Amino acid sequence: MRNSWKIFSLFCLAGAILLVAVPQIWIVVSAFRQDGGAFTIQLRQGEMMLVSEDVQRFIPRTDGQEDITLERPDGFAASVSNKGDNRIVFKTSEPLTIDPSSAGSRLVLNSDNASFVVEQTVPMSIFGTPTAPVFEARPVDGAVEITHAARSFIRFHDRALSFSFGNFKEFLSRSVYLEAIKNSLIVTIASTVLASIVAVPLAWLVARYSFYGRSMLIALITMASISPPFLGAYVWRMLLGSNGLLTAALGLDWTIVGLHGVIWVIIWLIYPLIFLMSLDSFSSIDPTLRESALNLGATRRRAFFNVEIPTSLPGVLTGLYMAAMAAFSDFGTPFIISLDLVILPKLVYTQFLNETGGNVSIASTGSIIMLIIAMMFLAMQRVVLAGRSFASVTSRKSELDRPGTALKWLIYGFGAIVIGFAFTPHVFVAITSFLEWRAGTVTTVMTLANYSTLFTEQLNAVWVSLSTAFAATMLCMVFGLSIAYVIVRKRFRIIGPALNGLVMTPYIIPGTVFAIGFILAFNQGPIVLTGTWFILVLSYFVRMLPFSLKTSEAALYQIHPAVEDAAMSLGATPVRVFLGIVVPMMLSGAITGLTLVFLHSATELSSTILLYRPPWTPMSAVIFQNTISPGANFGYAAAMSVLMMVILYVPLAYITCSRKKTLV
Amino acid sequence: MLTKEDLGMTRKQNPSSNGLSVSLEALEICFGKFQALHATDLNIRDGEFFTLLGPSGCGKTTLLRCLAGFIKPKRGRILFDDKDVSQIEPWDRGIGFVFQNYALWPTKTIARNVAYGLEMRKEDKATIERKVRETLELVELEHAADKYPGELSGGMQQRAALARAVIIDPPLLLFDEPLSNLDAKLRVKLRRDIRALQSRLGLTAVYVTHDQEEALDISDRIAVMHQGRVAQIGTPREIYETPVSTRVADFVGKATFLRGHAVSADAFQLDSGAIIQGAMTFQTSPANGRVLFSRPETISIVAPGEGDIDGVVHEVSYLGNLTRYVVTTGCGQNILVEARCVAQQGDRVGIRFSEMKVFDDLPDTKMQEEDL
Ligand SMILES: Nc1ncnc2c1ncn2[C@@H]1O[C@H](COP(=O)(O)OP(=O)(O)O)[C@@H](O)[C@H]1O
Ligand SMILES: [Mg+2]
Repeated sequence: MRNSWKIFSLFCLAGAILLVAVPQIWIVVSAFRQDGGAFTIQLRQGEMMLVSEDVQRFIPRTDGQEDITLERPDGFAASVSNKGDNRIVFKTSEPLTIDPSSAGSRLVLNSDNASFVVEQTVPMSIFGTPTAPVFEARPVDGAVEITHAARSFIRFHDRALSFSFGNFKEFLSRSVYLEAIKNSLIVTIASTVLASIVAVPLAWLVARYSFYGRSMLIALITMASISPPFLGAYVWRMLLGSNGLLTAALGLDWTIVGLHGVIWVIIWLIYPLIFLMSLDSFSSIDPTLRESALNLGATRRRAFFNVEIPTSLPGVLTGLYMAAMAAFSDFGTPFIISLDLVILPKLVYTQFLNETGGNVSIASTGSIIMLIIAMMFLAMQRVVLAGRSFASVTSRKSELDRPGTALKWLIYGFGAIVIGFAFTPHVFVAITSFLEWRAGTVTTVMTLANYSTLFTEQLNAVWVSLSTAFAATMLCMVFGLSIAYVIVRKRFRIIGPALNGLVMTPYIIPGTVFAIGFILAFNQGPIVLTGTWFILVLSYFVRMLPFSLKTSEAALYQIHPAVEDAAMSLGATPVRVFLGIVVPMMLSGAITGLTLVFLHSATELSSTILLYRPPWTPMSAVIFQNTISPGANFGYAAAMSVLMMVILYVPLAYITCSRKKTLV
Repeated sequence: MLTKEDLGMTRKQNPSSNGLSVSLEALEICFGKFQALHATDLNIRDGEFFTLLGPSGCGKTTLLRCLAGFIKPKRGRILFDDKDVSQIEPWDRGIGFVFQNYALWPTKTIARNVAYGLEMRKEDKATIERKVRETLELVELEHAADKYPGELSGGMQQRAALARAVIIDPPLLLFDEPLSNLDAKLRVKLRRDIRALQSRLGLTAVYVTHDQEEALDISDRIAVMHQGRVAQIGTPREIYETPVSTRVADFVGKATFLRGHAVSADAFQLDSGAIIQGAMTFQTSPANGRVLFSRPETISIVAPGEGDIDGVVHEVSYLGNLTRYVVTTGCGQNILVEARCVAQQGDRVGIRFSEMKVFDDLPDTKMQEEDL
């Protein structure tokens, strides 16, 4: 009886190690492993030359028609000599043997420290014979003689992995990677700063003043906080891109495509987070604090800077951190705004999915760089907060002031602007979902075809989205509640903190990085999950568990332990006490968090896009694919977005209403 | 679930009672290195209303939670009717517990709260319904059956908590400061209700409080606790009138302590030199006597020169049924007097002691602030 919680904790700990620690370890391992590099030669009419665009890690020493020699920084050398009659001899500084797995156009040649995969590609010619091109190997004392087609490309790729810092060196020296880091930082910092300039003053005004439509404004911004993230980018590009609807109408020679566009779109995505967190902490300032400061003779402005700012800073900073993380890991916006823009999540994504060239290592290296940057954001937040006391929990609600006329119109104007920009995509998408699309451009013909296609062809995507999000929410509920109970009530000495640390880790892992870890860990070996329904569920579950855990903990802190003792003294065993008494009490507090888990799971994109494989294609992936593929029917994506909004906003309306009830 | 028979609780020492007797044998409780209860022996009789009284942090709750099984003792035994229950889990003990903060479940109605213990015992629906109704009538809450705890006042919530605890017919009922969150008037009424209910059901009660007035009012016997030890066990009268130490004397009721030394078996010389004569008892022997103790209502105010010592009335507070005076003697010692007489602030008066006890040392609190 006493031990069942301990056994459960150990089970959770094992699960957390498997689902959180192991994938991250895989990323680290893969980032520190580098393959031996590659080069390609071209053969044509008996002549041989090195393809200079595809030389990795090797440095060409001589490049003649008869002989090509290359050397690697570690001293390993390779040479190819042209013997004529469609024969070449490949020789390295170590003796080579032909691996028995060689077959067809793929040879595997091994030496002590290298393992070359040699592949021949024969350019298609219209009059080409359908017979398979010649490609054979024969050992010639330590070297290998290869017979090849008359016209061919032959790629030599040393796939032997070695431990090295090479990936990091490459990442931090190649300009395209540095550019990605720079752009990511610019986007993150600029959009967070600009969003907070919008959100923090508005939150302060809303926290202080009562005006008609106040709760409506809060509800709308709450809605904006979970809109499908990639829609904004597409709609803004359609309106303001080169030849966009608005730019064309106004005759502007200007385009949103570029870094500034990414920042603009992300501002309207993340400001609700800052607004809501700031509003929470501005409203929970104990009014007596400010009043006593005023009574002690502080001017209003001094009271604001000395009392209100410091006490509400923790909440505001948490909002800023969450917003910065959202901006930093946003994958959809830069992808849609501009294909040319290099930025970390996009770079990592393309490097990872790019099968040729062995770039998984670079993707892992990029993931680690992203993780380090994310941790730096967290560290910055902690450093600013260190040594500050948290806002005192209010015992009585602040009285809201009535604003003067000028101030009132300022609030309305301000509110209208932020709501307007945040919902432009929604309105636009709703309209286009009823319009016909031809060859990738919108027409003014009204139609319901988008919806009928949706309901006839793609209900599967709806089902995948809802079922994965729902399953993840249920898992979050079960484990969020029980792990919170273990951490808060049982306080096991080592297991408790370890479990807490592991479960909270995904909070700082960007979605792209998380997905790469999952794929590396679960596409081979004992547990194969890639491409299944389960990997989506598990990734949503593990990524959302921190939120569920925090809300469950907060709910549990409201429950006095005597409540459990009372049930126990009446004959209930600890398990019955937990299930029959504690869970129902916690649920009423944790339900808001769980609803958000569901909504975020249903709209998640950055890890989904790497993890999903048909037929398990969720709505977010369908919308995304229909949005980025050129000439695709966006009306169809729009119809699905409208359906998604319905799915999102109905539960959200429910929790906002019920929250209002509990506040009264 | 163990039954009462399993626990050997059927053999009653007192046939008219539904309770059980509780014995602690050298019971010790520790939280890590900190010893919350030092080796304690205690016998609580069947059907008795027994109170644990002491300042905050002295270990009352800890001892009570140990009786309920929430805390396991480090050493020693707990016997319920001669049956060792020390290692039995709380859900198998079948005793009632009433908490300071009521600990009602806000997600259940009052009726469902009260029914819980019977549901755990898998009683049938009709029995549960009947017993819930009866028990709610017992605490005069029949009208609130379908309300939620949040809709009731504090006093009603505590009555509901009481109903929830007694519905399972516990032979032993434990109370942890059940009234301290209520206002003064309600406290007095509700404690009399609790006492009446306990007598009527004939069960044993262990009641924890830091309010000495409450303890004196309703207890059969009281154990005064201090820093994890029992300082004295006795009836309310014994505790109040013949405290065994200055600590008990100081904690229970008001008192005057005067420094000095005993000169004989019936004379005590104050530090100021004045000698007080009369019948007095000693904690150990006259040779060790250092502190003279007297209750305010046993001291009377007389004309100057006619009492044991003279002083000036320093403070007067009118309490209605009597008046409380603080009289300051020549050497600055304060004497607390409660009497029905007329004296004004600043009057010079005589003080006469009638019941005196001489202790060996001052209580800790009085060592720092010697103003009373
Ligand atoms: N769970 C616990 N862990 C550590 N110390 C405790 C715990 N519970 C109580 N104590 C300590 O034991 C002592 C007695 O506490 P308690 O029994 O609650 O006192 P009382 O009820 O008389 O006010 C206090 O010093 C308290 O700090
Ligand atoms: Mg206590």
